[in-house]
Amino acid sequence: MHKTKKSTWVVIAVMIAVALAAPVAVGPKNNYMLNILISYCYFGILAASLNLLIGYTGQMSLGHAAFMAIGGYAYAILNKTMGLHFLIAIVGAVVISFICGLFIGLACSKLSTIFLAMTTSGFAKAVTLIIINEKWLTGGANGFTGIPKLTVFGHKMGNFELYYVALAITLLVFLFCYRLIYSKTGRAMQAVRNAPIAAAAMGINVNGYKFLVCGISAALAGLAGCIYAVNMNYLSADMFNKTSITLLTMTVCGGMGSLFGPVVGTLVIGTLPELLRTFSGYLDGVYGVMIILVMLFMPEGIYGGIKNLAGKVMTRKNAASQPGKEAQDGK
Amino acid sequence: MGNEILLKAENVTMRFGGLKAVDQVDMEIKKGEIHALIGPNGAGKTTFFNVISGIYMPTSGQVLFDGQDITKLKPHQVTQKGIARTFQNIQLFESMSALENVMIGHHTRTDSTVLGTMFHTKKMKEAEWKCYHKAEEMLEFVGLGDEKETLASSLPYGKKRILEIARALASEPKIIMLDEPCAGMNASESNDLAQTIYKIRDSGITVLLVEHDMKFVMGISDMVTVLDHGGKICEGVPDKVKHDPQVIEAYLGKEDEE
Ligand SMILES: Nc1ncnc2c1ncn2[C@@H]1O[C@H](COP(=O)(O)OP(=O)(O)O)[C@@H](O)[C@H]1O
Ligand SMILES: [Mg+2]
Repeated sequence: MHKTKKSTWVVIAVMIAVALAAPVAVGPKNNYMLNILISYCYFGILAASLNLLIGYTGQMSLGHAAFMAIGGYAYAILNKTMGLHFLIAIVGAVVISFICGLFIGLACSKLSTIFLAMTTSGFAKAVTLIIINEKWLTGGANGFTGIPKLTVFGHKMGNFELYYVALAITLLVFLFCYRLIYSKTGRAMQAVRNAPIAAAAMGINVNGYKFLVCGISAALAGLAGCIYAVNMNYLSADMFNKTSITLLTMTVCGGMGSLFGPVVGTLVIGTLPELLRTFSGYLDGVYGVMIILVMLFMPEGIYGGIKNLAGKVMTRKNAASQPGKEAQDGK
Repeated sequence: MGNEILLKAENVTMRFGGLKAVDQVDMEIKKGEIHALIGPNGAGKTTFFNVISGIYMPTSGQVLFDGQDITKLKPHQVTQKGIARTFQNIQLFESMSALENVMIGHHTRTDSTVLGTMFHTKKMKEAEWKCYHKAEEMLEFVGLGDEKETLASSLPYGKKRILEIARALASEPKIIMLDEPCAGMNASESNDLAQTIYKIRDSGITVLLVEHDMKFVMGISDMVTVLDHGGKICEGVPDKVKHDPQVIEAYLGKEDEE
C-alpha cells in the first residue's frame, strides 16, 4: 500500500510548524498580513479542489470560482439572512455547492474537454448574473454586506483566531485529498484521466466518477467560499470575476496531479498580487505569461520542476561519489 | 474440459455507416478452452471484442455470458460480470506504476467506499491490502514481480503487453480476451507468453485470443474461429482450419495488403 517517505513527512511537519508560527511572527494585530495568511488557506483549498478535477481526473474547469461564490453566498444567506449557527451554515453551504457541482458533473460526463471548458466558464457567468439579478436574496450589485464574524461562546473571533480555524480546515481538506488520492477512488480518477476506455474496461464507471469528483471538488470550493465570506464580511459578484483564472494559474503552475503542487502554486501565485501591487493592472497578463512559461518549460509545474531538479542534483552527487557507476547512470 | 458454454454471440452485427465490421457472427466459447479468433487485418476481430466488452452496442444480435444477456451492459458492468480484456493498441495508465495499474484492474473486486476512505475504516484498509496483495500476486504470475514500482510509461514494449494481461487478470475474470498479445514481441517473449496463457487456462480462466501469428495460434488453441470481411468463414480445431481452402484464400489473397 502507499507509503509516504520519511523526508516528505519532515517537509510537511516543517510547513505546518511555519504555518502555526506565522501569525505570531507577523503580529496578532497585523491585519494586512493576517488577511494574506488567511487567503493562503482558502486559495490552498481551492487549488487542491481544482487539482482533484483537472490534475487527477483530467476534467477541465474554467469557472471554478463559481463554486466558491456559491459556497460563500450560501453561507452568508444561511448565517445572516436566516440566522443559522455558523457550523450549520457551513455544512449547508458545502452541501449546496456539492449539489451544484453534480450538475456540472452531468456536463462532464457528456462533454469533451473543449466543450467542458466552455460550459464551465459559461456556468460561472450564469452564477454571476444570478447573483447580480436576485437582489432580494444576494444584495444584487451592491453586494452582500455585514456577514458576521464567527462567535464562539460569546467571543467574537478576530483575524488572528480566524486564521487558525481556516488553517485547521485547510489541513483537514489536504488530509481528505491525501486519503482520497491513495484509495480506490483516487486510482480510479487517475485511470479516467490516463486512459478512459481502459478505465471503463477495468470496471470503472467513468461517468460516475467524473460526476462524483465534480461534486467533491465543488463542495471543497464552497467550503473555501465560506472562509472567504467570513474573512471579508462582505461579498459581491465582481470579487469572483478573476478568481477562476487565478485558481487555474495556481493549479497549473504549482503542478497538477500532486498534492504539493497546489501548496506551491498557492504560495507563489497567492503572493504575486502583493509583490506586484504597483502593476496590479497587468496581473492577469502576468498570470497568462506564467501559464505559458510553465507549460513550455516545466510541464509538471513548479513543484514538479523542483523535484526533477533535486533528483538530477542527487544523481549527479551519487555519480560523483561513485565514479565506477557513472557509466551506468550516464544517461 | 467441460462442454458448458461460457460466452455466446448470436447473430452479432456491428455496422459503421455503410460498413459491416462484424456481420452476423455466431460464436460459442466453451468454459476452460483457449479459443482463437483470427482473420486478416480489418476482418472485424477488434470490433467483435469491443462489442463483447460493451464498448460498442451491436447493431443487431445478442451476447450471452453464463446464460445472461449482456448485450446492453456498459463496459464497467461487463467487467463486473467477469469479462476482462487487453487492448491491441496498448492502453495502460501511463503515469502510474505497474503495481497501481494492476490495482486498478482489481477495482470491481475492491470493496471500499469514499466514506470509508475518509474515515480510514478497518474495512477499507483491509480492502486496500487485499487489492495490493492481489496486484502483487498478478505481477508475479506474469513474471513482472520486479517491476512493481516502475512507471508504466517506462516499461519496454513487450512488458507493457504483459502488464495489460496482469491488469486484466486482477479483475478476477471468468474469461480473458487478449487482442494481439504477442504483436511486437520477439520469439522468446512470445514463447513466455504462450506459457503464461497456459497458466491462465490452468487456473480456470477461459481465454479468447485474437492473434495474427498463425504458428502461435495453431500451437496454442483448442478451437479457432476465422473472420473475414466481418463474417465467419470457418470454425474448428486448428488442424481443420489450417487446411480449409477458404481460410487459405483469405490469408493469401490479403498478403500484399499486410
Ligand atoms: N469506430 C469505428 N468507426 C468506423 N469504422 C471502424 C471503427 N472501428 C473499426 N472500424 C472498421 O471496421 C473494420 C474492422 O476493424 P477491426 O475490428 O479493427 O479489424 P481487426 O481487428 O480484425 O483488424 C475496419 O474496416 C475498420 O476500419
Ligand atoms: Mg484488431
